[in-house]
Amino acid sequence: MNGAESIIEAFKRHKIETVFGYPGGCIMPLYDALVTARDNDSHHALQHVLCRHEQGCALAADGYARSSGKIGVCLATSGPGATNLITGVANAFADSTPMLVITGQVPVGLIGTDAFQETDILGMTLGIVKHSYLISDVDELPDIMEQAIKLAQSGRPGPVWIDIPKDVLLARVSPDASTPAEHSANAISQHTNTISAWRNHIDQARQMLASATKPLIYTGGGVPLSNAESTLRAFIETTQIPCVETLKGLGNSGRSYPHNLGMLGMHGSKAANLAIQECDLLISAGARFDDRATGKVSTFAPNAKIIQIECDPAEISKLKACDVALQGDLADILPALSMPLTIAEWQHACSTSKQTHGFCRPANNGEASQSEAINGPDFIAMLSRLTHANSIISCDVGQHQMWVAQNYQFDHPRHHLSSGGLGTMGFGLPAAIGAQFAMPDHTIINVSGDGSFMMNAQELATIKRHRLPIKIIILDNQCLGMVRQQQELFYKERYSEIDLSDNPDFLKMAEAFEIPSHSINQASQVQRAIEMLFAYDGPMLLHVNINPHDNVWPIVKPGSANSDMLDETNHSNQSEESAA
Amino acid sequence: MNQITQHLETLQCNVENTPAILERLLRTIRVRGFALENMEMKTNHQQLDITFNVCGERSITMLINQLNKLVDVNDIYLCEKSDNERLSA
Repeated sequence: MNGAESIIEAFKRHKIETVFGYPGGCIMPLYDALVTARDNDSHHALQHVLCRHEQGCALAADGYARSSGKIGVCLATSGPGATNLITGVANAFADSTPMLVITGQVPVGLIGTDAFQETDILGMTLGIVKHSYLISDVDELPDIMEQAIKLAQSGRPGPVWIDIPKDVLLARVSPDASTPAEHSANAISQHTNTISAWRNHIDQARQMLASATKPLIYTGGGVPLSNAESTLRAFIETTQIPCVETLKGLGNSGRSYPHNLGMLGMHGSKAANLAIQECDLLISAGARFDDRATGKVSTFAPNAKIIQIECDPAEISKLKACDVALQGDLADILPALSMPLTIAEWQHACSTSKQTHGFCRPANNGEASQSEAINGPDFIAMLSRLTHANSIISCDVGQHQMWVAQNYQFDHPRHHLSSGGLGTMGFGLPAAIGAQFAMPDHTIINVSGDGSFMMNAQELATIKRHRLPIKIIILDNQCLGMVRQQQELFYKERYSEIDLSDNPDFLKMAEAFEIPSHSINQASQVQRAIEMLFAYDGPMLLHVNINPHDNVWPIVKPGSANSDMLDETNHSNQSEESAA
Repeated sequence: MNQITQHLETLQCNVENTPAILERLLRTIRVRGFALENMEMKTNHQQLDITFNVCGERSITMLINQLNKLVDVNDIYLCEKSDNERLSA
């Protein structure tokens, strides 16, 4: 067995059945091993998905992992293959997606000689990986595969990168090294063991919760990452505590929970942001006090004691000091904290606020007049009403992303795939591809914008090849809408490089990849168009012309307090100072 | 004139001697807002014992937590509370 074949063996041991990749010079031994695996091992159905750009591979692996909870795997060659992965891996790092990245490298003897397609990818990526390895001895490879797969998925997940010289891939693995030793797991045990430090502080936290009159729970992407969704649902069922969710936490508490105030933060609901300002106890569960969620952090939850539930010790009190830290696994901690609460007055105040300031847009496009233009948020509200409960939405980045977050009623966090931390335009289409491979029985919908769609449009070829029944919706406002909005509000309408009025003909693009498509531009067409999309048993693209001047409301100016929300009625030109 | 208090702290750590371990340590120190003032290192079989002085405005606990996340860091602790405080504009 050579090094490349030992990688296939590791895939088999860990039941990894789908990998996304792109071949090239130094990774060719692994691609040769894929042929051997395909021909000789009928029991292990390893599927390689050839994307059309390495960034597409990494983002597809990310979408695969987010939608399923399994590890995502991507492969590329050295040099440009590896550098093209970087944005996708940074995206996974920012959102704690479990991912294994394997790249070929020039042979050991050529490293450091500026060889053809040589890059110091280990050095380039230090800041965007949970850990990384450069392997110089093939006998290390089986152990390192074990460590990497375990590390990527343990504790706070993240991408782990293994860079392997071509001659190491080709070298024979000695019999003693071919089976990973026990010590390979032990070597990283301090980084994979579950910490239970929370038990020392749980009584104090319970006392704080019992005595709070305005408690609020703030949940994030840590809930699905720790498979704590059902635990959270049980906690809120018992406590009936009002809740707010981050972008990555949407769906955590379910759309039917009456005390769910929706998303907080820069484009959050007024109800959610006002509850944060009012609460006297804030329980943070799997959230990280990101600046897009908190606004000016010194003004965030100004009247509240804070209980922070977090698996990563480096996140505790990192940005906002907490009063009690419960470090450990959410799924263990929430049941220990759970108790019935007597907070009727606070619940009533939150419900009233939700009715007044929540995102409750009526999906009434069917009653629109013939000539009325399509409003982006209205379109998303209609999409939410018409889609099946098992639909998975992947977004790109920009106004459409926020309209989805505000107006689509998610019932499960893994049904919403959105680039939260890095904000990667071009995420949506490859992430949808990954999700479709992971969850073949689900309807996968990519909601994109005309700017974002063009960033990874080459992946239409991957959809075509596999006849993936992905529904692509492009909300086309012929500009970079979110940049335009911020230039309008914070840069005195000095518009700079946001015009996309010379977009290509998206229908012809779809046709080139044998994907049927149609275009709409009137509100009265929306319902029928969405119904057509789901009636068709295959991939389809819906091009939706929307008003270029639509904005995302409310908005908190970057760097401002969440209490200073701007909307259609109170905005005026704001200074660009401190906008970030 | 705003005056920013910078603290000089001494950290000791034991790390695995793996590719790029020094880069991992140094980039973490830089990215998290600290400057390296001094560093001593000696090899100890497959491991390295490193002592370094860092200077910064942010909490040293935050830096230690971030350094502790590095997989090849076995042990890290704050040596002593230095009295050296520097004032800069």
